Amino acid sequence: MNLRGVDSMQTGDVGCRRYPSAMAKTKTGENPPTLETSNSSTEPSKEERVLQRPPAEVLYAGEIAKLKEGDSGPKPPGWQLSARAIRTFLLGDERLGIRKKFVGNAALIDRAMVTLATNRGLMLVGEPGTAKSLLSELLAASICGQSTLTIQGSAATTDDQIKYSWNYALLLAKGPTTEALVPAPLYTGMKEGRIVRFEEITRCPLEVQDSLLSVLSDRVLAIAELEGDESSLFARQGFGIIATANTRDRGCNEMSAALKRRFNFETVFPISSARVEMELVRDETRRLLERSAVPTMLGDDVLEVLVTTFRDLRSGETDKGDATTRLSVPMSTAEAVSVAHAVAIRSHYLNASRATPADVLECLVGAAVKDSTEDLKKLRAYMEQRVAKRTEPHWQAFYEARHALPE
Amino acid sequence: MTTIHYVGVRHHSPACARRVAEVITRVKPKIVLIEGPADMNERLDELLLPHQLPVALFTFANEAGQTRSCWTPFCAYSPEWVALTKGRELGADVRFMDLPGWHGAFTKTQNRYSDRSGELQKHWLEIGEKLGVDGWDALWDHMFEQPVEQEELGERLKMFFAMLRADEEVGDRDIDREAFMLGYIGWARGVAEATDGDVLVVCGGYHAARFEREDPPVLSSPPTIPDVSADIRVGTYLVPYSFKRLDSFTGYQSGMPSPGFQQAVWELGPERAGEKYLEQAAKFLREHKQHVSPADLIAASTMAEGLRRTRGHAVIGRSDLLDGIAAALVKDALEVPLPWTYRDVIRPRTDPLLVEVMHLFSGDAVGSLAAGTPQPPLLVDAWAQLEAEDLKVERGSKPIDIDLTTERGRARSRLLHRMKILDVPGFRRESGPESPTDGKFREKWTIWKDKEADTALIEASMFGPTLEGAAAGKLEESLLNAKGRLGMLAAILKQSVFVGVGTLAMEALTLVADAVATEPSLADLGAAVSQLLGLWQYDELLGAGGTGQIKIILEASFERGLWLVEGLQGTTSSADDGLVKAIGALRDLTHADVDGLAVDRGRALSAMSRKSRDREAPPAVQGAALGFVWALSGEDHFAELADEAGVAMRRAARPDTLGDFLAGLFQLAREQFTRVPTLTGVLDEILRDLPEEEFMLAVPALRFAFTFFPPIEKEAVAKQVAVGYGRGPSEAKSLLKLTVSPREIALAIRVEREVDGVIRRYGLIDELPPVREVGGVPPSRAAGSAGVVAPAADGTASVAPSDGDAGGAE
Repeated sequence: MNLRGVDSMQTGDVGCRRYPSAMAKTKTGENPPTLETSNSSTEPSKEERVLQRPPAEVLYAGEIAKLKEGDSGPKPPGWQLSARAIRTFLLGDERLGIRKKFVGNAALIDRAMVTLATNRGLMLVGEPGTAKSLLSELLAASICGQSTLTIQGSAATTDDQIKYSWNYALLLAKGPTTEALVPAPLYTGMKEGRIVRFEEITRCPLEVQDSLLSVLSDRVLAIAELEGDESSLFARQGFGIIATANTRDRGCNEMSAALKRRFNFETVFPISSARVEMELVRDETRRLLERSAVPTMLGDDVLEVLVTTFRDLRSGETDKGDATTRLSVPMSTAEAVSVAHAVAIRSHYLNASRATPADVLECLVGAAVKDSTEDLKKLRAYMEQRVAKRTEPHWQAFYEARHALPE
Repeated sequence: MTTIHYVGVRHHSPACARRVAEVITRVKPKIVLIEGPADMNERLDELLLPHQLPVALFTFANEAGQTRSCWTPFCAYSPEWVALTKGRELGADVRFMDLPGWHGAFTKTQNRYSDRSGELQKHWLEIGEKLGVDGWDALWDHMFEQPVEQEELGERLKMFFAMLRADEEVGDRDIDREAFMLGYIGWARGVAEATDGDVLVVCGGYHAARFEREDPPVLSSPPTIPDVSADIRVGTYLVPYSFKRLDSFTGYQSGMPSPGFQQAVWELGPERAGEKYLEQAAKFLREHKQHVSPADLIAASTMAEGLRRTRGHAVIGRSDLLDGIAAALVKDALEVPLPWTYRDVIRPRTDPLLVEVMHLFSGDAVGSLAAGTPQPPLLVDAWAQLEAEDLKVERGSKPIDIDLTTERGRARSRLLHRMKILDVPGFRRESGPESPTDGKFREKWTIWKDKEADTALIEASMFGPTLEGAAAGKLEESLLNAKGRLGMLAAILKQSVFVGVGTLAMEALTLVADAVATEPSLADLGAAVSQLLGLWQYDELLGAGGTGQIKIILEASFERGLWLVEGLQGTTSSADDGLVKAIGALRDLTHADVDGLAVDRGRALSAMSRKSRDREAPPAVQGAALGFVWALSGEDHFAELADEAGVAMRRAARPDTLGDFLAGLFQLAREQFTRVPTLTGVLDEILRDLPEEEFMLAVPALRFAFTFFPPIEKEAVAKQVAVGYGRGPSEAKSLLKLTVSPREIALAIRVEREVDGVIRRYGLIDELPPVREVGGVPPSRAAGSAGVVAPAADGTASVAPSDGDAGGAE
C-alpha cells in the first residue's frame, strides 16, 4: 500500500483533481490549450481573444506553422522544428514575417538549444526580469509545441506537483493503476517527449530539487506504486528540462553539486545596448496598450527618460560612465515596460492628456521603488546629481518633478 | 599585361595568410608590396634572419623627453609575414610600402596591425545580427575562418572589405598613410609594366578597398620617406615578441584574439585545431586546479559539436569551442559576459575557469631573435656594464648583497636601480634604505635570467642609447607626467638619487619648489619634506648647489605644512598614517632649526598645541599634534605635558578612536611616553574599563599603535604594567609572550564567564568579584563624553549574560 498516499488522504487532501495543482499555477491561469487548436489555423484562435495572456504556442501558432512548412533543416529527435528554425522564431526574420521575440545574443540561444538537444538540463540564470521565463516559454513552445508543462517552484513545492499524484477515489476503488495516477508536468513531459519548464527552481527545498537527479541522468522516472513495466516511465525522445533561477533570491549557490552537474548553466544578461532596450520597451508597451485598448502611445522623450533612468539605476553608472548608485530592487527591462504601461494608462484615464516625464517619476516610485526608503534616497540623489545636469527640456521637466518624491 | 592583385587582409588572420599564400604562388608577382614601415626596406635581410616567431618591429620616437612607440608584430600566420617570406622565396622584389612607425600618423597607434574600429565595426555588428552571430570576432570566424574554397574566400573578403570601407572618405589618421601607400603602388605599376610582371599588394582590407577603387597611376619613383626633424630621436629595432603580448592589446588597438589557437589553425588546419584545443583545455584546466570531470569534458565536446552543426560550420570554430566549454563547465551564474563576446581586457569578476581558458587560447609561445641580429646600443651598453660589475647571470638566480658605504657598492647599486627603473625584468630589490638617506647601508637584491629582459631593454632604448641616459630619460618623462604633483615628484627625486642622475634631481627640485606652495595634500607634502630633509642633511648626494635650493623649499614646505595642519578636520582618516608621518616630518624639520633653517618653532608649537585639542580633527592627528608639542617643548614643560597627555588619552578612550590617537602620539613622542609610568597606568585603567566588545573593537588599532615601540621599549612599558599590579619587574617578560594560543585564552574566558553566569543565576555566591558585563553596558556610558569611563560592573549583575544560557553547565 502506498504510505504517502494514505498519509495525504488522512490529512484531508481527497479532492479529485483533473489537473495536478502545479498545472493550475501556470501563468496562463487557464487549462492548457490542446495541441490541435494551436496548430489547426494560422489565424488568431478564438481563445486568444479571450485569454488575458495566451501561451506562446497559441499566440504564435501562425508563425510556428509557417516555419514548419519551410523547415528543411535537420531536427533533433522528438523536435517539431530544426534548430535554425527555432532561432529564427526567437530572433525574428522580417522576410518571413516572423516577429523578433527575444532580445539577447544569438550565441545564448544556440547554446540553449544544443544543450536541450544533447539531453542535458538547461538552467537559465540571471537578474530578475531579464526575460528568462519568456525565453524558456518560447523555447518550449517552438521545440515541442507546448509551453504549459510548467512547475512553479516555491518553498511549498512538493514531489506531487512535479512528478505525479493520485486520484484517491480511484486509488481506493481499484488500487494503484495508471488510471488512478494523476500526471504532473514531469510525468507528462517524459511520457510525451516534451519540454518541461521548472520556474524558480532554487526556491524549492533542496530535497525537492534533487528529485530531478535520476530523471536528468537516467531519463527514467520510477513509479514505485505500480508494478511490472509500468513501474518505470522511460522518457521519450524530445523530453527536456528548462529550469530558471534568479540571482537575487538565493541564487544557485545552494543547489546540490550533483544537480548542478546535470545542468548546463546559461546566464541571461540585461540588454546591453540602450538603443535596443529603448526599442524593446517601445514595442512591448505599444503591444500592451493595444491589448488594454488605450490608443495613446508614450512620446519618445518620455520613453527616453524612463529607459535611461532604468539603465542608470540598474548598472550603477550612466551610459557615459558617470557613477550613480544601484537600486536594491531589480530595475529590469520588464519592469521598465510595466512602468511605461502604467504611465500611459494613467495619463489616458486620469489626466486625459499626453504623458509627461513627471508621470514617469510618480509611476517609478509606486511601481518600481516600492517601499524601500533606501532606494528612495538613492533615487533622490540620482535626480539631484545626474538628472539636474541634463539640459534637454524633457530631462528638465523630469527634474522639476522631483518635488513629487515622497519625503 | 601588368595586373595589380590586391589582397585585402585582416591582420593576423590564418585564413588571410592562406589566401596570400595561394595568390602569391599562383600569380608569381614581380613586386610584392606589404603594409609595413618603408624605412625597414633596407633592413629586410635583418627581418628575414632565422628568427623564432613571433617577433616584432619596435619603433620609437623621442621628442623633447616625450616618447611614443609603435609595434609591428609578426607571427607565422601573419599574412604580411607570409607575403614577405614567400615573396622572397619566389624571387620577387618585396617591399614595405607604409610610413615609418615614428611618423606622426602613428601618434595614437601602438599596434600597426590593429583592427579597424569604432564606427566601422557597427556595420559588422549589423551583419552579425542578421546572421545570428554575436560580436565581431565570432562573425569573422563564421564568414572567413571556416574552410572554404580559395576563390570563394577571395570573393567574400573583397565584398566584405568593400562594404566595410563603403564610400568612407579618408580620415585624419589615414590620410598621410594612404597617400604614401598609393604612391608606392603607382611606382610598382611602372616598374612592373616595364618588365611585364604582376604586382601583389598585401594590406589591411580597409585600405585595399580604396586602393583597388582608385587604381593609382604610374609614378616614376617611390615616395620619399619624410625627414625626421633634428630634435626628434627615432629608431626601429627587432624584438622578440610573445603571444601573450600579441593578445594583450586592448580596445581599438586589438587584433585577432587567441594567437595560440590561431597558430594551431595555421599549423594543423582548421579541421584539427578545435580538436587539439579541446584536449589541451582539459589538461590545462586540471593542471590549474579546476575541477573537470570526464563527464564534463564529454559534455563540452558534445556541446561544441552541436553548436558547430547548429551554426552550419564545417569544422569546430573558436567560438563553437569556447561556447561549448562555457556551457558545459561553468556551473554558476556569470557576473559579466563571456570574455570572447567583447573586445577588451578580461573584465574583473569573470569566472576563473573562463580566465584560464582564455589564457590557454592565448598560447605561451615566445619568440627569439637569430644570432647576429643588430641590437640597439643600450642593450650592449647595459649588459657590458652589468657584466663588468659581476651583475649578470647566465642561468638561474643569485642574491646580491651590496655595501653602500663603499664607492664600488654605490656604483653597483646604481646599475641595478637603473635596470629596475627601466622595468627590465630580472632585478628585484629585496631590502635596503627606503630613501637614500635613511641610515641603512646594506642593500639586498635578487637577480635572475629573464627571457623578457632583452625585449624590455630594446623597448627602453627609446629613452636613450646608454644605461644612464635611458634611466635619466625615463625619469624625465615621469617628471613631465607628474604635472607638478608633489607626491610623485618626491618619489622621482628619491629615485633619481638612487639611480645617480644628478642633473635630473636638480630639475626635479625646481619642479618641487613650484609645487610645494600650492600642495593641497599634507600627506604628500610630508613625504616630500622627509625626502628633502634627508637630502639636505647629506648634502654630498646632490652637491652644494642642491643644498641651497633645498633649504628654500624646506622653508616653504614648513609654512605650507602648518597651514595644512590647521585645516585638518574630520574623522575619516583612521588608518591614514600619511598625515601622522607628515606631522613627524614637520617635527624633524622644526627640530633641524639648529642648522640655520628659518623656521619659527614658536609658531609651530602653538599651531600644534591648538590642533591637539581640536576635537574635530582626526584622532591620529590629535595624538600626533600632542606628540609634536611634547617632543619639542623640552624639559621645562615635560610634566605639564605628561598630564595633558593623560587627559587627552582619557578623552580619546572610545574604541574607534583610542588606537588611532595612540598611534599618532607614539609616532611623535614614544620616548616621552615611556618615561612616565603613570601614563601607562592611565592607559591600563582605560583598557580595563572598556567593555569587552568595545575592547575587541579597539584591539586592531591598539596593536598598530604599539608597533611603533621597539622590543626593548615594549618591555619597559610591560614593566610599568607589572609594577602597577604589584608584581616584580621581572614578570614583565611574561606579559609580552603568550605561552598558550589566543584561541585557548578566548575559550578560557568564555568558559569562566559561563560558569559565573550559572553561579549567579542560582545565587550560589553573592560576593563574586565584579565581572565585566558583555552586553549590559549602555553605549552612552562607554561613549564617555564626561571624559572618564565609569566602571561597568555594579548592581546590574543579576542580569544574565547574553550568552550565558548556552553554557549547558546545568
